[in-house]
Amino acid sequence: MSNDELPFPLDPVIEFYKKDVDRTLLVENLRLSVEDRLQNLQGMAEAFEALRRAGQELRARS
Amino acid sequence: MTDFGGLIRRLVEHHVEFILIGGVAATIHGSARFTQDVDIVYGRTAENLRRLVAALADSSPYLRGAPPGLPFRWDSETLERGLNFALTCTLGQIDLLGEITGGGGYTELLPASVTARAWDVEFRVLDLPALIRVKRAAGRPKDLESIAELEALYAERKRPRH
Repeated sequence: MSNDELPFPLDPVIEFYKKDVDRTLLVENLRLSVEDRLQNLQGMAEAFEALRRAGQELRARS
Repeated sequence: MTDFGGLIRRLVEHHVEFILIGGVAATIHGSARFTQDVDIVYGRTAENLRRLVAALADSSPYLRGAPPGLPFRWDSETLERGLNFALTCTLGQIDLLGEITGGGGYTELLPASVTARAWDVEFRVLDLPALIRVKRAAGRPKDLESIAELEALYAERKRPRH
């Protein structure tokens, strides 16, 4: 990315982290509406909570 | 689990002056990262503190991570005496920030916010360049991946296809 594309000075540490950014996910998200992006976030929160409870039950049984 | 829509709707319905920042704001701008809480910068006027208190009053707000039984009163005086509050309530986790590093308070951030519409309400969200700016200013190592993603988003949004 060139310096001209961002309204900030280039930071070499941040640039290092950019190589791991999955840009295909970003492109997909940008195609979604704001409502859909937030609905996905709520879905992730529900999945996270379900997994957390499953882990708790597993630990309680063992 | 945080009910993101429930919290934000509650704030809007009580006419709280706030700007959404943090992970939910990043999601609105297109981030693919997960967050578990709602972060807002709220106005510090006496009237707004009263509205904020009313908005969360029936959701039992309590200091997140504080030991149970610690005296905590959810009222305007408590908000007046403090500035930033990390709360847990029946609707989930919410961070109330009176000021943020590199951004200031509600009034300073307002020109760098945009209106978003979701959950049948409209609310202010920090715009993407400002979100990047305040995360850079905070200088927290844990934000580096997030900043990298937000800057990649900024570049993607500048591309003609969007």
